[in-house]
Amino acid sequence: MTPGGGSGPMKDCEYSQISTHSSSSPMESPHKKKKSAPKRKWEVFPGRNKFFCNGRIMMARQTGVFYLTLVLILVTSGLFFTFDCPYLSEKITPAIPAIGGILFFFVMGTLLRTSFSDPGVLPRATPDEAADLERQIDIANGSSSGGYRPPPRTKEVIINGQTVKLKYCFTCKIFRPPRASHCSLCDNCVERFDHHCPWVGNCVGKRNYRFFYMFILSLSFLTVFIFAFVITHVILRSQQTGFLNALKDSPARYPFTEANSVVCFFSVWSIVGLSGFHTYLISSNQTTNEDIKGSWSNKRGKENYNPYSYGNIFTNCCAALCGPLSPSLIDRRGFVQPDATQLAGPSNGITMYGATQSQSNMCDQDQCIQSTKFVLQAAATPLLQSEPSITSEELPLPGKTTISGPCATLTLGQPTPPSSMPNLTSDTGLTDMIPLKEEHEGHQFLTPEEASSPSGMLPSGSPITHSHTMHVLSLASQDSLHEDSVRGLVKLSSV
Amino acid sequence: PAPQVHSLQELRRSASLATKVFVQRDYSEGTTCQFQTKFPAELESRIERQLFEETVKTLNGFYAEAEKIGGSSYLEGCLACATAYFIFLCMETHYEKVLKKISKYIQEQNEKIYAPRGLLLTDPLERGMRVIEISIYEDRCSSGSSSSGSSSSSSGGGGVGGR
Repeated sequence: MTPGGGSGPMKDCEYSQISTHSSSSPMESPHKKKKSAPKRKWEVFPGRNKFFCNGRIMMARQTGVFYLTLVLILVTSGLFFTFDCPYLSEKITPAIPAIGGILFFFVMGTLLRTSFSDPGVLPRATPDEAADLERQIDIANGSSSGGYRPPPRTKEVIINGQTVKLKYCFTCKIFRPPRASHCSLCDNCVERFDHHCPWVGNCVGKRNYRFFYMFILSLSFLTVFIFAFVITHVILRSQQTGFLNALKDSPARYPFTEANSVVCFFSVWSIVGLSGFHTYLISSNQTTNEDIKGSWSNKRGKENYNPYSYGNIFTNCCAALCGPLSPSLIDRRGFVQPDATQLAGPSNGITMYGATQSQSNMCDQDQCIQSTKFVLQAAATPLLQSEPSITSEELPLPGKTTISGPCATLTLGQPTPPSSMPNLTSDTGLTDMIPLKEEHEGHQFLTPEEASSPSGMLPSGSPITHSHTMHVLSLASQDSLHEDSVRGLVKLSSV
Repeated sequence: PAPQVHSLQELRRSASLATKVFVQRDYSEGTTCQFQTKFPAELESRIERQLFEETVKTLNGFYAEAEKIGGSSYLEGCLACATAYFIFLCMETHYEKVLKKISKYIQEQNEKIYAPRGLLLTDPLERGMRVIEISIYEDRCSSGSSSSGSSSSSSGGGGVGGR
């Protein structure tokens, strides 16, 4: 008999398939290091991002252009301050370098804020959430059979009178909130996704849009400022010595003045243009994404309007720039709970707020500790209580009741070191036991029993064997077992 | 022992997780964080409708307060802008303050109302502000009322013995 059993457990497999596939390869590494220092969540983040300073800084993978931006700004400003400012502050006013300095400081501050902060990444769904959604979608679709990807899933909501379609993200296993979009470069869903900007090396989304806007606005002022005063410098010099002489002198005495002006000239047009464009977007409360797609344009129909706009330009601007700043949802610097790492996407979890944190900490760890104790206790007693273990989570699947029970029993047999899985849902627990035990040495004797009872004949069959198993398992090396269990789960998903 | 009454600690020790219910977001008013107040069917037998609705409405109120665009948020925004957002390095934002209030509220609700009924609320912040996850716990010794837990409990009934 195949581990998959009949069609009932097959459906479980399907769910587990989806659940386990949500984990990408970086997920598997923490399992091996159960005994080493706990990992921070950024280390197991499934998106394509780079993290620095132990998770404080977050950027996209391709950062080359960002360094170019930095270099351009630093070099241009540096040259301006070194070569033009002394003359100008003498001739005109020392306020020029002062204002230039303030602008430069502002530009750098906002640039770094834009590049280093979390744009509003949505964490991926936990396996339970994903399974629950799947179930609801299947019910809605009339439970299509697995084996092919069903048509794209959408949900319609009415926002302020306008119908908006929410799309299901196959990577993140969630229905994207309105205005969110999945960035293919960063492989994340981002809230209020504007665009992915290579110049800042990050996505621009809800949390860093205002920094981005202030950056391009202040950069426009800075480039115009530098451009204007470099020209002024040349003009003043030419008044002294004649224009051609000034130009002749400048390479020798004022190097790069022309280069500076050229760079500034081109930057001015592009940056100022971009600022203008984003000013328009802010005042109409649209994202670049929406504008490009023409989501709210009148061309789509007379009834089409932007449901997010507050009606007047002033409120729209204030909301975008001075509205509240929502917190990062991905908790980069939190520690990965060993029992929560498994198949899940990034642990959405531990908040920085003490109350909830201790609560969820205690929940998971207590459960694990209790379940481990339970396993050891049960191993000592020949008669196996076929009670549901703490670590098994049973899905609210209709008609699956007969499976849940034995499934729970099967899960019991699995050793529960702290790093194993309260998040392991019953469907995976059901079928993963078999390949798991097959893999682990010393448990082959279980295989025939397991093989013959894929879905729930085990408790009646061999309580004693089971207790033996648990006894052996509890003595066995938990590290490799854990690794095996993960491999088993991943293998299982291909069943 | 009383079948369904647990304190929060007892809940973890003696009960097992039966199922989870997810209260989804309500987008009818836009992208502000609001949750649906529709009463989930699975909670029918576990908690009074009114208590649940009150919890969700209070949470919605908290989130509305956090995301409110008004005088104080403008002030905070302008001040932050003026300092090139460096002020965020040392100051806690209004939103974060409200989130702390929310987590306290959730813990309080769990202790007073939900744990005694074998339920547990998870802070939406831990789930990406997408859902309010309500875990339904099954008493090991009682015959569970929750559908998926029932068979396991009944099969466990025989072996329970000492409990």
